[in-house]
Amino acid sequence: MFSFNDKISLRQFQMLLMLYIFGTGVIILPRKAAAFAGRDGWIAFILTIALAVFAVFIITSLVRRFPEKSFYEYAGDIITKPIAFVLTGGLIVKTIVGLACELRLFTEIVKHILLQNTPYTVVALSLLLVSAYAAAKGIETKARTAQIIVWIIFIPLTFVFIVVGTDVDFTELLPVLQIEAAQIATGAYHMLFAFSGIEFILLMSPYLNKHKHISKRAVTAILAIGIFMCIGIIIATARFGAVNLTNQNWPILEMMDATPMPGSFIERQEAVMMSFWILSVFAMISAGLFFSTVAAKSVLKVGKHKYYLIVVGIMAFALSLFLNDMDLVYEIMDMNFLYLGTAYMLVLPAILLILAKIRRLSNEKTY
Amino acid sequence: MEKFGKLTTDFDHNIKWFEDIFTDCMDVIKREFPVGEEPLSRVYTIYVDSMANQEFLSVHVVQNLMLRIRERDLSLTIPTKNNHEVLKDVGITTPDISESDSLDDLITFILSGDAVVLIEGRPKGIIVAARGFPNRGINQADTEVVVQGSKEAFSEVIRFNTCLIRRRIRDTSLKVKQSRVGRRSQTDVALMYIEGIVRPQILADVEGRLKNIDIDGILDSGYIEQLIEDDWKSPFPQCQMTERPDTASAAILEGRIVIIVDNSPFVLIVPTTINAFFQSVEDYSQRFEIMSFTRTLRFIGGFLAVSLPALYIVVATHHPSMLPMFLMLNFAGASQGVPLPAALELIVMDLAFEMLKEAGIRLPGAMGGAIGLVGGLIMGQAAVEAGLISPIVVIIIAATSIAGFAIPHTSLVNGFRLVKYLLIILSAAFGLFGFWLGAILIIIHLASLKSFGIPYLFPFAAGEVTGNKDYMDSLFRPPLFMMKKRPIFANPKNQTRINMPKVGNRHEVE
Repeated sequence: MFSFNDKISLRQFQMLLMLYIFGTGVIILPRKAAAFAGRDGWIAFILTIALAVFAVFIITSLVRRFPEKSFYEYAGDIITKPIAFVLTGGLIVKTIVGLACELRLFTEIVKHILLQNTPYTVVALSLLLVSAYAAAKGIETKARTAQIIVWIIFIPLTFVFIVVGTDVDFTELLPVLQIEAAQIATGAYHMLFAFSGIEFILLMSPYLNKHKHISKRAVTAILAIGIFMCIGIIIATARFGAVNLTNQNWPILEMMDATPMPGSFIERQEAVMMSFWILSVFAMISAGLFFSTVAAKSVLKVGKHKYYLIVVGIMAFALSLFLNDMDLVYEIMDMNFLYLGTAYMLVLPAILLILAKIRRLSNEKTY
Repeated sequence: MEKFGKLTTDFDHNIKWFEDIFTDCMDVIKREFPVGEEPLSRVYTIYVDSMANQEFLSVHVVQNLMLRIRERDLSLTIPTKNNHEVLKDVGITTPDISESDSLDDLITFILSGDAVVLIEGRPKGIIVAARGFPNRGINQADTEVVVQGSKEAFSEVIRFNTCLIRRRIRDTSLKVKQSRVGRRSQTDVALMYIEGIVRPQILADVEGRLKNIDIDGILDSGYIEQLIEDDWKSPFPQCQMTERPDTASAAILEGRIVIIVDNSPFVLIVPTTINAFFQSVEDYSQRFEIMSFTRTLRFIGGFLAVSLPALYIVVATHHPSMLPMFLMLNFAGASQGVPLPAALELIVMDLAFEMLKEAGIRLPGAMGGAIGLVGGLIMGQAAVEAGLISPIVVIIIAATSIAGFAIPHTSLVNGFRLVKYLLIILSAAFGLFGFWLGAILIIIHLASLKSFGIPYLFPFAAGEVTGNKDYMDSLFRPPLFMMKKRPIFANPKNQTRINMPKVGNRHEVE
């Protein structure tokens, strides 16, 4: 019934997906939206959501054809093993680089807001160890953890958004559509980084107990999280104005700090907001660790995935030590997204899907 | 595998064997005597003093064989039956007898409190169920007290305990599967479940785990719990323990399995989830509104029991600016002059309180109360007045303990008592960040636990397996008529618990 079968339900898949995505961009997304599309940032982001939905549809259509196979296996079936080897390697590199950037970014924010005097290594290592513990426990445990954490994050955040939303000037959003369509489109493309994490679906297929409605479930998750982030952009823009927003490092945190909560006896509310973000970043880092080790093991096929975890963890940590300048972190994050992120989120899945269709490769299940 | 072999037709040899094996066992009563006026045969009885009911044996066995059999005309029965059958039928006037030629079996029955009767020339021993050892009877529940509901509690006698459940579920599908566990203790262990409602895979799993136990003695159900649980490293209980027959019966009706261990007044219920530890049998005998409120309070209590001291450390030592100015000043004023850092102060105070609790449990009733009074009130006040600890820490520790007491099952609270220190230490080291790291660790650990295949965090995680219906009976207690289906523990083919189209006044339908 519930034996240790390493399978998760579609509901759990949705929860995991929401957490992976949420941890990546929520803190800086409003600033990016304002930088690319000014007060029309939220409109650009709606296009981003559409793009993400399209990407997810492509990825899920691909993985549904190979329900029990790892990325390396089905990519090998489609475009030969050597190329699949390179692609899996690229995915691992992309994930590790992303991990290192997230680790650095997150640790710097934690140090700035909560632990000014604690050394970087202590904060980063402690988060990495806890995330590795979750990754070592396997996908079932991760999925059940996500089902608990998702409520701890989103229920208070929804409340916060409602409260903050009542104390902002929505005229800051007007007039709309004053920015050129090309600029909005560029902004929409760049903001796709906020959906980094959907490429993990490429690796999740063997862990799903059902595949039939995977596209529908994944799209629902993307829409839910996309709408949530879009509301965040709208409120942040209305709160600070588009120009001020571009100068805020972490606008969502600043917004929390600037709005008094009714009946609350908590000052420094950005620290509370940090709590939710700690949870989502943990989920994201643990996902990165888990899936990069799973991908590595699917190629090398030796040893336990826990051993790979140690190697990947050390690599991500070591890399994060070099990223000692926040501008450099943002630059690498952008490059990682532009060169590898879009490739694994959109381009490669589309190519693999087309080739699989042409070659009529499919083990699709009807359940 | 048999150790001692079988009885033979040589009566003297059999007797010698029993005499030898029970040498220097002064509590074992053995007697050989002739039967009938012109002795038909010889008989040998053997049992353990006080474990077998002597009065019962003398009325139903010894008097019959020694005296009454002489008063009967056996000539009518003897031609049709042999001596042995006549002696068994006429001499033993109790329905509960069985026979065995296995010496291992006979010894086990003797040591379990039954009597064995050997008849000359017969290679089988007659086992007379005559258990009558002293016991304290059916007492009130001490650890799971309820306001409304049965006051009965299990006792140390396995048969009483099965009877207490049988009285509540008069269904032939209620099965009692009994076996012996423990190489030397040969402790009776009974599994009770309802056939058709229990999940066969879980039943097979439980039976397999019990069969796997190889230990010299089982002295309490706690031994069984630790030997069959999924994760021995976890501080959280993966079997539910209860001393209440109504709780056990309710669990059986939900499709769970009750494990009763002889000599233990606590029975085990498997599988379990963390949600089950927040439920009390009383929840279902009172109105749903108040019990939903109580249920929610218990969950809040659970959260506070784990996290309140850690949260205090977070705001008192790392992030005092999170508090409004008046509260921050209050905290600072209360801690003024206290020589210990807040985290150490809290840990010392908490350990002192734990010690008080332990001392209060071990000491006899009145003295236990006195310890609470002296330790909690007098010493606490003195420590505050002497400036050794701050009054806020006393309040935090007291509130944490009270929150823990709100949870009906102490085994879960015991888990909380330990993990609380993890949160305190991490919060002391890293403040709010440390608190969340600890919280994540605990959630991961709980999410990784399973009890006989059922996720421990169910229905809060993996609730979709049963279509999320089990959420209903978690944070709240729904009206009884809405709980139409059994929880996840039950066999999916037999899920219907309540089958009433309309509750209350049936005339409303018309």
